[in-house]
Amino acid sequence: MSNKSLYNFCGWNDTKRAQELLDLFDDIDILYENGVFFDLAISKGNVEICKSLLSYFETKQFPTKNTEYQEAKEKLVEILENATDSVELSPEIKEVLSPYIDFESSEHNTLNDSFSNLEDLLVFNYDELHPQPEERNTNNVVISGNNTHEVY
Amino acid sequence: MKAAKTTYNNEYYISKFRGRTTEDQLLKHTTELKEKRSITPDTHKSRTLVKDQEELANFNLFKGLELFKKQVSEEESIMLQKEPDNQFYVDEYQYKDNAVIRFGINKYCNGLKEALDIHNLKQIEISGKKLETLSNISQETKYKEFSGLIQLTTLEQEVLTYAITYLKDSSIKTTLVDLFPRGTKPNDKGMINIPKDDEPVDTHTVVLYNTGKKILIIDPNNPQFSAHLANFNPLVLEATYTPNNLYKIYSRPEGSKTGFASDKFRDCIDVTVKLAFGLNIDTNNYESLLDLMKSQTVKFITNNFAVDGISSTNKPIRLKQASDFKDIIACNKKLEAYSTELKEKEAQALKLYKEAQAKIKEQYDFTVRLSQDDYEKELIGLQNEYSKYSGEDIYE
Repeated sequence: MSNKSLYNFCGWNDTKRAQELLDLFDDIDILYENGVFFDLAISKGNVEICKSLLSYFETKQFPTKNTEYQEAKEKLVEILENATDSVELSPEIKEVLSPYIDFESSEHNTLNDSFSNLEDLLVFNYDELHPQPEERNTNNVVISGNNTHEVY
Repeated sequence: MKAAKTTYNNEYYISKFRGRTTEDQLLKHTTELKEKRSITPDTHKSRTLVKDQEELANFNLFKGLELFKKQVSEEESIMLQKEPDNQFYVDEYQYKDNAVIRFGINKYCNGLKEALDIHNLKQIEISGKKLETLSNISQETKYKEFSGLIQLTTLEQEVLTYAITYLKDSSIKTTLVDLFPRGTKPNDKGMINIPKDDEPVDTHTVVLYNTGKKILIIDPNNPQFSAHLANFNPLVLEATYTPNNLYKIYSRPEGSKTGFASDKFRDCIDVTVKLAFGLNIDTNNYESLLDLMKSQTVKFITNNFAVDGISSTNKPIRLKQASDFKDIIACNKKLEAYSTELKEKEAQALKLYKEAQAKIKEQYDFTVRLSQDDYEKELIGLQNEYSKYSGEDIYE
């Protein structure tokens, strides 16, 4: 029940209640539902909830740093990497998460960011979008131009 | 509140079963489909079947929506089911003045599985080699690295070509395209899942959104299913490979069903149609997927708690993705009110627990469970409004 309550308070961005829950209870699984608490807190940019979640993970859920902790931490890192990918993060959130994520080397970009410097140069070019059939095999898929069922 | 029509176009059901052998089977499955389908009759307006690339090329896409309002007669549709030579079809979905076109791939067309088998063989050769060189990096980076090498099938290239041309030559912001979804893990190697039995190959539908400078690929379910489409022309198409759940606009619990009844979730076509409707009437222009994810349209129709702040506790509140945005707004207001009530109750339970001298966890859990049960009852009530408004379990 505490997990469900924390889920709600994180979603409602209710820092005070979320922290109270984390203080009062010790049966919360911080990695619940593939890290949904972090999805919710990071989506709201809530630094305080993020801090409290991580603190609970380290001090209450895994006070002993054994193999189980190591495995859970690996999962936590993956959860945090996913939750911070392709979103704008405040410096404060980055600071809180930095013991788990190397923001310097992580790629937190959308696919086409590498082309961003070219965007200003782009205009729609019909020929580029719609090359002649004989040229349209750039993906190694042969296009015959006929209605054939053997090629797709 | 608008009452939905209770009639429907047979062609929609029938065309879903293109390739079935007899008319008897078609009729049987038509009844069966009535239970399964999730696009409403007056939203799904017409379908035009297109035989091959050549016919699609000759298809005049430049006359705008008028062209697609042509209705295919029932008789003609049945005839076409028996001859699964059509590789493509063009569907129009319309609600009042808002319409969107979908460039569909006929998953029942002849020879598809065999062709995709060959496609997969080529793909595994390419991505397998790439993966060997990427063994020491994280799964996510590995996926990004090799996903640029995912090959598009010719069918995907064709629908994209015409969808992009259509967007360029019309003032419409959105269109829908079909694709073959790819696995979301690097070890899936970018291959298409081909069922061994009589089941057809899965197709998936996404929204293309024209920013004026580039075209965004919006996959409401999971961007990773369809990000490979950007390989068609990465300078023009923008997709994201992000595993971030914030980009999942609409999801449903594992094992849940899609369909038309009030307790069923909406399928990908349905959700993309509603998203396109919303983006068409949205006066803002969004330059990137990141911008678009912050749009009011996404906030209105999403069932992602992290995006709209409304927990639907895995209930398919179908009113939240209605065709009419007035209905969606009304639904969201109710959800917000229920949510506020739950918040107050949970906060109260927490306060009592904190103040109690002997803190009894079971008592707290019991109180919170009661509050959450009440909330769920209200959600079920809202869920049932879907059928109450329609009178006959039909509502868009």
